[in-house]
Amino acid sequence: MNDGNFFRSPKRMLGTTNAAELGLLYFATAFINLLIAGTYALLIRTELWTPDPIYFDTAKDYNVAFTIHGTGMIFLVVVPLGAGFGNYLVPKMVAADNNDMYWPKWNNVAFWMLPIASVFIWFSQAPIGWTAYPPLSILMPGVDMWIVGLVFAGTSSSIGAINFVLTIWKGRAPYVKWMSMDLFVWGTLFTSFLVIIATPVLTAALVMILLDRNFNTVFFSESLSNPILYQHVFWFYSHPAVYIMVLPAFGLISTVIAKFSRTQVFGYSSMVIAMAGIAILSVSVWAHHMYTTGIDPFVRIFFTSMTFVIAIPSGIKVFNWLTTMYAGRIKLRAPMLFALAFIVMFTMGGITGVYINIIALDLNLHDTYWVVGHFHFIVAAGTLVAMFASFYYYFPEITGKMYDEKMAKLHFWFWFGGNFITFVAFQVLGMEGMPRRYYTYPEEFQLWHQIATIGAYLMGISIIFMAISIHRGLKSEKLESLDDPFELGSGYDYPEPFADYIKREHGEDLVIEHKLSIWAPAGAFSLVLPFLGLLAFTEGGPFARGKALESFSGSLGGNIFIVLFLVYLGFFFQKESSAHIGELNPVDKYREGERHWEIWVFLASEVIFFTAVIGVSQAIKWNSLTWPDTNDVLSVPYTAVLTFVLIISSFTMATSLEHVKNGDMEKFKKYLLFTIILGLVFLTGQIIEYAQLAGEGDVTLADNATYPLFSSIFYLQTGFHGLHVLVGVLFLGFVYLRARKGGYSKDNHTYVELIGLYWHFVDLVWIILFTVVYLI
Amino acid sequence: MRKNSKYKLTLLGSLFTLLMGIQLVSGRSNLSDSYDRLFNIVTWISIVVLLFVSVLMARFVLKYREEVEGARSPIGHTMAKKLEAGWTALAIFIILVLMAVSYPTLSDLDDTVAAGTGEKLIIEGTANWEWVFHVQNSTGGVDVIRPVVDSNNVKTTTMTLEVNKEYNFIFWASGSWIHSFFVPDLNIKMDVNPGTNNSISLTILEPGNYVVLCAEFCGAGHSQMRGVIIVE
Repeated sequence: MNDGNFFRSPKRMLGTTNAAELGLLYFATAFINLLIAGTYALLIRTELWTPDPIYFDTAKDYNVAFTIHGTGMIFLVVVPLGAGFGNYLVPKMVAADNNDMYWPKWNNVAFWMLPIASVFIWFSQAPIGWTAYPPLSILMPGVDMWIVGLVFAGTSSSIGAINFVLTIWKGRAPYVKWMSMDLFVWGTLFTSFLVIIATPVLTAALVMILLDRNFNTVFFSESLSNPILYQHVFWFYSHPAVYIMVLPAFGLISTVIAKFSRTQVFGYSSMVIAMAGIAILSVSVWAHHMYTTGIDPFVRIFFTSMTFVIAIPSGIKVFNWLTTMYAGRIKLRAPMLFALAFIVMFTMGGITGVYINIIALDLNLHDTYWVVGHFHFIVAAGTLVAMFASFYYYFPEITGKMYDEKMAKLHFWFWFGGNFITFVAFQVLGMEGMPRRYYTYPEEFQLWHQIATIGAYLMGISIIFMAISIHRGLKSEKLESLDDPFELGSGYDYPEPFADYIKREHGEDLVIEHKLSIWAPAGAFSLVLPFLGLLAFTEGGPFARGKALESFSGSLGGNIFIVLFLVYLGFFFQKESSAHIGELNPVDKYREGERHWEIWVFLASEVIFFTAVIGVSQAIKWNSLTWPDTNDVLSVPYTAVLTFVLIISSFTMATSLEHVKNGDMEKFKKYLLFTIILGLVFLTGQIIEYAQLAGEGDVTLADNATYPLFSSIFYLQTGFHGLHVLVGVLFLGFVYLRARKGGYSKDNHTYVELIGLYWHFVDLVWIILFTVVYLI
Repeated sequence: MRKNSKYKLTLLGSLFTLLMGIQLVSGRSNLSDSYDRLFNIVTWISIVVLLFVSVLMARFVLKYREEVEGARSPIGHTMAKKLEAGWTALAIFIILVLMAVSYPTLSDLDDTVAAGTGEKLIIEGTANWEWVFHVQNSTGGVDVIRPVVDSNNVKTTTMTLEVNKEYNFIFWASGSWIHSFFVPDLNIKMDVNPGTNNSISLTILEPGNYVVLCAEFCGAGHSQMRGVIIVE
């Protein structure tokens, strides 16, 4: 499909909305990131050859290396590879009606957030470990930039996930039945649900660290609050993150094994149910990372039990993969070798994981190299190996050429051998009591460290073979036919493309263009500006801890970034509000039903975000000894009036929508304007309230506040809600501008409905917040 | 043909490596016996599972390679349904066995650890990446033992405890970092949190020198923060 010119045209690379091309960009980005994160891994292993310093002069440099290696491999390599395969394969596998993702432009935005995230993370040089536990992460340099990078990476995968859910659910051709979809589609669907559920929680945790660092809040303060709270919030995301990475790999590997065994996937329905089970259970096992923190023994029993249960579906999958090979005619090409390695390594990862779920054993093995070995078996020797298998399997389809088999096999043997040597050495080190994240170590561990280092270099060498295999493949002749490049008796077996189906059924030519959009990547890049502004406001720039508020007026750079962002927004509004809308997507008439639930999928992630924010705030409140009576410190009647204003605005919004549905455009515009004005009244009211509170001195973020903990959660909850109101008002303003230019009509007002739902959601959140913050 | 013997060799080699690697640290505290027994049981279960998966896979690869001629008889529909249920039952069975062997030690451990009995001993983790031990001396006072720093900046704090005597270790973080008190030879680890104090009760049954490490990443001095418990 790739005409070869794609990577030579910066404009196309920047503006493409074609999912297959974006998939290639994901692969390229992930490969570059793999080289960087892999280099860090080799530097770490080099350093550990002896207990004395070899490469890193100080422990801090070493700490940066493993932080960047871990963060990079997870968020910039493995998760993007899953998204890359998703982009490339899902629209084909579900015969998407537009032969693309459901929202092509948002897809572009999601991709371009990834290189941005990469740059932020690589340059952050944060020495905190990828888990970023406070108080360490509150006091160390570089963390602001690291957090900004992670928020970009998280937002990228959230947008991608919403898009995957929509593509699979709504973009799927009617003749592609649920239980006949490729298992990779199921894997992507469950992963996307997990991303939507879990990522907002990570964002909330990271933002709270950012606020603690720069805005004087005390969410995780050791003297006023409890730093362990962060670990709960963090692992609520980060345990599912493991499954976010591995579920697409499960799907990919099922296909490769069945193809190269020339059989059907054994136990298709139990595979789907197992994946669903894993996805559901994965959000209820997080505290198994915290057995040594001194949490309640009863809580530990719950989590150890749940974790045992989640091993069951994983076991079922392993057995099913084995049975898939039964009575096959197995062809041992590179993809199959990688797939077989995946089964063994995943089993190794599974059984080493059992040890650390048994609390008595975990009290010894926790935070040692045993854990490091365990998750490397799952992620590096498991998930990444599945990605390699599929990369080689789809290589002919992507490039039209065949990779070099000999080099690919060398890649396999070096990688597999290296994995085995290194990670088994890790397990042994862990058993003998070697803690992780050690810059230097007692001498008795040296032998196994050296064995691990040798294995790591084998892995490093294997990547060279991979590069040669790809290079030789790209230089080789085009394949004559892509129907069955591996001579397996069957090819890639995608369902009939939707356009062909329409042609056959309706005799109509469905012309699907993948348009270039420069505004989409520009949008992604523009989002860098406010974050750069934020970083500039931290004292001494992004590399130091500071008090952003104090230097707000002092930082010229920060103000310039913010002004640039506002200018961009202005241009964007100007351009988009005058654009001609009402032109239908060519496939719109074949899409069934209402489009409400596009916004519902988005709102689901918002619900989780606010649940996390409110939940953490409530947890802080319960654990705090000094909590003020809200009647004494806040003006409840004043806020009740503001609440009333917001409720009225929901009515005006509903009325406005009612009028556009009836075709009464004048009244539609009038009520829309009322809604905007009421929103602005609410915002102004909130600003006045903040100013008053700052004057009174009880509820402020200043050092001498009477109730620092109450103030922290007060500003967190109301502040984030305020931001949402602001965004809502901006979008309503945008709708109003369009409406004045006659952009909506009786038949064309979906966008108004979507914004309306968002607005009602924001109002509803406020009613909850008013209750929990002001009344209770 | 060569291809396959290579494959077999790799598998055998892998298993050998795994078995060689498993050498237990011998148990020396009141918790160690149950730890060792449990570790052994889980290891045997793991070896059986890994062997089962690897051998089955190797067998299928050898038997069903495309080079091997001969008819294949695929699994019939009814058999497939039974097998699917069978695999599920097997996975559940393995997990049930693991639960059955691990739960009893859980309550042992919690009883011992949470007992709160024994002579009080404060283990302080400082902001400077040091262990400071507060030990009761024979005159009834408290000795505060600070670390000795060597040329590599490794900070080692040494205290002497009595064999067969129950101690109540109380963990206190005096600085901002979270540490974790880890004695590999005693198979025990407990986080040292700022703000809240964990504690464990422990009786050491054998004389000897026990190395203390920090297991929770705490910043620049994490790997150089060490201690020794001399048990006499």
